[in-house]
Amino acid sequence: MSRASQLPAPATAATISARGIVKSYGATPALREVSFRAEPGEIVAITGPSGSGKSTLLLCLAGILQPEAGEVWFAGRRIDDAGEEARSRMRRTVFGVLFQFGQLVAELTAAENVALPLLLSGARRREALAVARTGLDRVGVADLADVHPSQMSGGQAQRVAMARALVTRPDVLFADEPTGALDSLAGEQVLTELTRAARQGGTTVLLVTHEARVAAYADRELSLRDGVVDGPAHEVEYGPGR
Amino acid sequence: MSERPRTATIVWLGARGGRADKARILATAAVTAVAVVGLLSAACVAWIGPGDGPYTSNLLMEPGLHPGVVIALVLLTVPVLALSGQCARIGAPARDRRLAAYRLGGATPRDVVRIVGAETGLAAGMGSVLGAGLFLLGRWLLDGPTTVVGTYTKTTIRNTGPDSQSILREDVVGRVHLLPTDVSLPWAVVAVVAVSLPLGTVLFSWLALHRVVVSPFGVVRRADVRPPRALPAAFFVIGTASLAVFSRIRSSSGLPNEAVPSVVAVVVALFLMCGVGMILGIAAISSFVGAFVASRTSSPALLIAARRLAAAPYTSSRANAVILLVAMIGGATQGVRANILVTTDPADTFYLDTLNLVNVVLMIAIVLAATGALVHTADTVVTSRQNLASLAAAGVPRAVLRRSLLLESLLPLAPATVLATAAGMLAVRGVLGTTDTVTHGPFRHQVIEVVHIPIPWIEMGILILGTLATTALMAWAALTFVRRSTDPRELRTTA
Repeated sequence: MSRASQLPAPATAATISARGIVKSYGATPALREVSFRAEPGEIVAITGPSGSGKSTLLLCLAGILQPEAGEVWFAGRRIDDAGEEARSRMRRTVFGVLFQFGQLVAELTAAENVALPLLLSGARRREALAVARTGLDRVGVADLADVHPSQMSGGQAQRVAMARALVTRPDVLFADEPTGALDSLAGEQVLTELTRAARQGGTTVLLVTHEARVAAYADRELSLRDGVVDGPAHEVEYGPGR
Repeated sequence: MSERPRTATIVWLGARGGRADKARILATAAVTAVAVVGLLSAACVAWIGPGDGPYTSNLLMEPGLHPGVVIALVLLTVPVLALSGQCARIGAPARDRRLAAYRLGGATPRDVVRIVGAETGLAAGMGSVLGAGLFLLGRWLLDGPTTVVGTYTKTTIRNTGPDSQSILREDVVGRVHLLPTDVSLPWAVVAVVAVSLPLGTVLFSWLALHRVVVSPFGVVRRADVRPPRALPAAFFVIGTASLAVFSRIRSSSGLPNEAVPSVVAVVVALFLMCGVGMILGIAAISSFVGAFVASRTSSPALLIAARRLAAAPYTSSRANAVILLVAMIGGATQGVRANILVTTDPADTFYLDTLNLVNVVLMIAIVLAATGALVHTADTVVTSRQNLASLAAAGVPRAVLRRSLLLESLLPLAPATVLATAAGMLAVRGVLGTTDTVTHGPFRHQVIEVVHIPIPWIEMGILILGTLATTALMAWAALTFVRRSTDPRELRTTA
């Protein structure tokens, strides 16, 4: 019997879970039967050294990568076998994605970048931009609404990216090293906003990091090593965002 | 919300690019405008009726010559449309980053297809409207100044019996049009041309996207990693050699000069074999020439060019195929020219004027086809900037890099152009023969002389060298990007 089949059935609320995920890049295995579950509103830090498979796990959960084996479930629905169109639609409606850098469209202003998921969902431009400005205000960069990413600092760009990730009020926010390119002050501001979103909006936050300082913001930590969970998932002390 | 982006959003995202994207849109629009003008001009010639004219050019006066003019104008749009395909590569890395960022922002693969289609459709639509507008405006503006009192040849056909006619040609002075600006072209034809070209361009871009995966992390092209197959290139070489042998056998065996259907069938089959082999086999030729030269040269520029060709033989194949196609048609026209010049009266300037006009059209076609090399070389310089910057940082002089990029364009093209022009010329000699008859002397005392059709060596040489020189000039023009692309800071470029 495989490890995946031994796991409990996924919850039907906005729970996200993975069962026996296997993923490799060519001959190099990245994930070897990794299982995981996060409850609604939970902040989970996925940690581990470089090459441990933490970003791959996040990308599989977000539907950006498709695992070779195993299952990914969200809100009682299996999503890993959904088509690319369906997974893309999920990423702009119920999921939010935040990366280290490079996610903003250079040719769009901050407000347009934040409005993008709404526009792609069929919203009218004026309404989408109004919502986007509110989102920018919430993360403290309302004055950057008409500024292009090339004219922003790394911290400002990351706050705009976070406003975009949160603009659809996602159920799950996937953040891959969101403070990796920022100085400590800007990093703290971003993490504070992330935890606030989770606490106030009930958003589940899955946070990939290799920094203990960042992982301390999470409710729980899942540690990976060489593509497998490094011991059982364990609780850590609540971070300052709690 | 409808869960799908509005059309206005799609168009806005399609048009929302940087300077390179705007350059691509403008270039595509300009090229489409030229194609629309070319096709509407062809339609105008096709629509010349008995009540239109007269015209200064016999090409327009003689209804029998209209199909040839129409075909020439339509053929002229082929390199233009091929150039439109090349224009799609302008600023491609920046566009790829933008599309990936859209995907990361939630765009589905279908949304990306619609965005690209919108951008292409917008550019081609703008070009189509511009081209149709320029054509109609040009007709209106040119009609007055180009319609002057002059001489034209009036042809009168009289029935002289139940089964006989007499044709009377006389030079008449009167109001005469330089261009068919008086032809009333049906609006439906203008609309069909103006709509079909943008639709075709969008369809082409949609088909091209099938070889591309736009993921949130970037654009991956399903590049053919297999070495190119040698069979098409072999068809090209063997086909050309067979045409040469066939032409030789025909001249030595005394086969009749008339175009015998079986002979025509053989020549057409060999010519098609050459053409298809040439288009599909140019990558194999690039690979072979690259490997051959790389193992023998001691010149750094030649070595870099040859190794790059051997490593990526497909990259320049589209631009080269169009150039070779024009060279092949050029070779065929030189064959026809040699035949006509020998068999017609030198005092009759009609044919010479027509052939000279054909050569002008050919020159324009070569320039248009070679413009594809300009776009390709510029694209190569921009997309290989990390590689070029690392070579410059390692101490390779920029002059060597420039020479290598120039040679990369010319190395596969040089032998292939010779073969393509030869194939075109030999195919014509295969159909029309290598000898013909000319009649001299007064009525009832005419002497029929068998004349040999010479191989047009000089014209062929000019065609080959002209094609290669034009391509080299265009590629050289694109090398202005080398200085910026070899800046060591480019080593930090991520895409």
